Amino acid sequence: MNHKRTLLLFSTVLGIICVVASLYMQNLYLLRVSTLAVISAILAVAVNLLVGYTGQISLGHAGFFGIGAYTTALLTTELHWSVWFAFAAAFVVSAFAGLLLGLPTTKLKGHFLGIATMGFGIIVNVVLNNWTELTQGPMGIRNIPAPELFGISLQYENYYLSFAVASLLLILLLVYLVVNSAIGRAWKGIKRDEITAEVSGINVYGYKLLAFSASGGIAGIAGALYASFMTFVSPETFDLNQSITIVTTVVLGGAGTLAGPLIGTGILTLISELLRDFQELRLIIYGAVLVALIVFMPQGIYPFLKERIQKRLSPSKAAINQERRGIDERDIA
Amino acid sequence: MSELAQTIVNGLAVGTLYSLIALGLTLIYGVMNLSNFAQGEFAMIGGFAALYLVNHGVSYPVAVILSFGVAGIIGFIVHLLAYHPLRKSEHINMMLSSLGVSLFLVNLAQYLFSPNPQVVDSPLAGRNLEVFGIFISQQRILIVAVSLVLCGLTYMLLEYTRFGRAVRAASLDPDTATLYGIPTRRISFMTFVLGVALTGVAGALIAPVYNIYPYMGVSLTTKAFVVVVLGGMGNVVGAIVGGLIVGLIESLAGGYISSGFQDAIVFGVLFLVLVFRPQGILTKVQGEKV
Repeated sequence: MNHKRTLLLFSTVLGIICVVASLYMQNLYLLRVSTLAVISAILAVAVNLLVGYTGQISLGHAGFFGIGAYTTALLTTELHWSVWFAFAAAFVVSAFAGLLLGLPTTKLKGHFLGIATMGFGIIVNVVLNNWTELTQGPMGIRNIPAPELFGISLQYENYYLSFAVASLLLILLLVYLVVNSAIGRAWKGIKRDEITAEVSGINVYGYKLLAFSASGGIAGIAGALYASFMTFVSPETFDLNQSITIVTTVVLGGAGTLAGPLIGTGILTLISELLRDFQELRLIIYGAVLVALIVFMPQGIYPFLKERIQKRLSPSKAAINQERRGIDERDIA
Repeated sequence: MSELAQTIVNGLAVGTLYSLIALGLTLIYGVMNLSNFAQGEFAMIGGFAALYLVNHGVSYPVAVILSFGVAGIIGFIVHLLAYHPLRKSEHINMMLSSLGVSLFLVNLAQYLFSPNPQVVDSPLAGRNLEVFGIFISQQRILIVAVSLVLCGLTYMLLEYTRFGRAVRAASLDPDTATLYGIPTRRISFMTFVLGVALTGVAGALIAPVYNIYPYMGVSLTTKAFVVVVLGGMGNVVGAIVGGLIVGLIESLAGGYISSGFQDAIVFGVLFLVLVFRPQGILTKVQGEKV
C-alpha cells in the first residue's frame, strides 16, 4: 500500500511538472501535436472505461467525440454561450447520448456490441454531414472561441496545452477514484463474468449504463476541448477511422490499466510523427506496425513492459504474478 | 409504378453482391470467431486485380476468375501473418489486427495504383436489357447471376462435402472438432481463403458498374456486417437472404427518403434488429451456456 502511495505522489508531481512545463513550450508545431495527443489520450481514457474495466467494446466513440465538439461549437457560435457552460453542456449531452446508446445495446455482447456501436458512430457522422441546417454539413463550423481562465485567454497554444494536460490529469484522478471504488469493482466483476456478477447481486444493466454514460461524457469533454482548440469542426474528424484509432490506442497501450491509454497515445503519436518523412508510405508502415505490435504484444505495451521490468527487479514476485494471471485466464476460458 | 420496380430491381442487384461479401464474412466469423474488418478490402483487391489484368490485355471474364485467386493468395498471407499468431489470444486482438490489415491494404493500394476512382472495361458495359419497362444493365445481370451461383455453390460445398462438414463442425465447437480428428487450423486457413476469395470476385464484379478506389472496401465492410447481423452471425442462408434485404432497404431509402441519410437508415434498421432479434432474423433462439 505504501508503495502505491509513493507511486501516486510521484505521478501527481510528474503531472504538475507537465502542466507547468507546457507553459514554457515555444515550438508551435510541437505544441499542436502535443495538444492533439492529450485530447486523444482523454478519448482513450474514456474508451478504457468500457473496454478495459467493464469488458464492453465500443467502435463508435467518434460519435460521442463529435457530439461533444458540435455541442460546444453550436452553443458558443450560434447561441453565444460562455465556453465554460458549453463545456459542461458537451459533457451532459454526450453522457446522455451514452445513456441512450446503452439502453438498447447493453444487452449485446462482443461482436454484436462492436457492430451496434459502430452503427451509432456512422449514424452520428451521417447526421453531422447531412443535417445542414444545424451543422452546416461538410462545410463545418468556424470561429469557435477559446475559454478564458483567471483572465488569461487560452487561445495561445502553450496555455491551452497546459489547460488540456490539467484536464487530462483531473479526469485520470476521477477515473482512478471511481475504478477503485465499489463501482469499479462492479465493473470488473461484469468484465470477468456477467452471469456471476448478476448472481452476486450486481445490477449488471445499471452498471453497464453507468459505464456507457461516463465514457460518453468523457469523450464529449475531449470533443469540447478539440472544438475550442481547433476553432473549427467538420464531420470528417468524427468518422469510423477515429473510432477505430481510439480503441486501437487503448488495446495497444494496455486495456484495463490507468497508464495504458497514455502510453498507447504516446507511442502511436510518436510512430505517426516519426513516419511523417515517408509521406505516401506512412500509413502503409503504420498499418504494418499496428499488426506487428498486436501480434507480438497482444496484452498491450504497458503490461508487457511492466512484466519485463518486474522480472528483472524481483523475479520471485513476477513469477507469482504470472502464476496468478495464468489462473485468471483458465477461469475465464 | 415502374420507378418503384426499377428501384427494387436495382436494390436486389446490389443485394446479391452484399450477400456474396457477407457470405465470406459469416463463414470466417463462424470458424475463426473473427469480425474481419478487412473483409471489404478484399473486394477492393479483387477490383484492382481485375483493373490491372484488363488493362494488360486479359479479357474481363478471365480477370474475374483470376481475381478469385489473387484475393485468395493475399488472404492466405494475411491469415498467416496477422491472424494465425493470435488464434489463442482474446477476440478483440484479432479484430484490431484486422483493422491494421485494413489500413495497410487500403494505403498500399493507394500507393500502388492511385487514390482516384477508376473504371474497369467490361464487354457488357453500357448494354441494357428491357423487361416490362424496367431497364437492367447487362453487367448487373452478370453480377446477380455470378453472385447467386457462387452463393449456391458455397452452400452446397458446406452442406454436402467432407470439407463442408468439417467447417460446420469447427464452427460449432472447435475443441470437440479437434478431438474428432478434424484439422481445425487447416480448416481455419481454408475457410478464410475461401471467404476472402469470394469477396474478391464480388469486387471484380462491381468494378465495371461502380468505380474502383482504395477506400471502397470500408463501406462494403460495414454493409456486410449489417447483413451478417441481420441474418444471424455464422448463418450462411441468413447471409444470403440478409444481403438481399439490405440491398432493398438501401435502394428504397435512397430513392424515396433521402440519399444522404441512406447509410443512417440502414444502420437504424440494424439497431432495431439488434434490439428486438439480436440472434438474427433466421436463427433460432439459444440460451447462453453457463
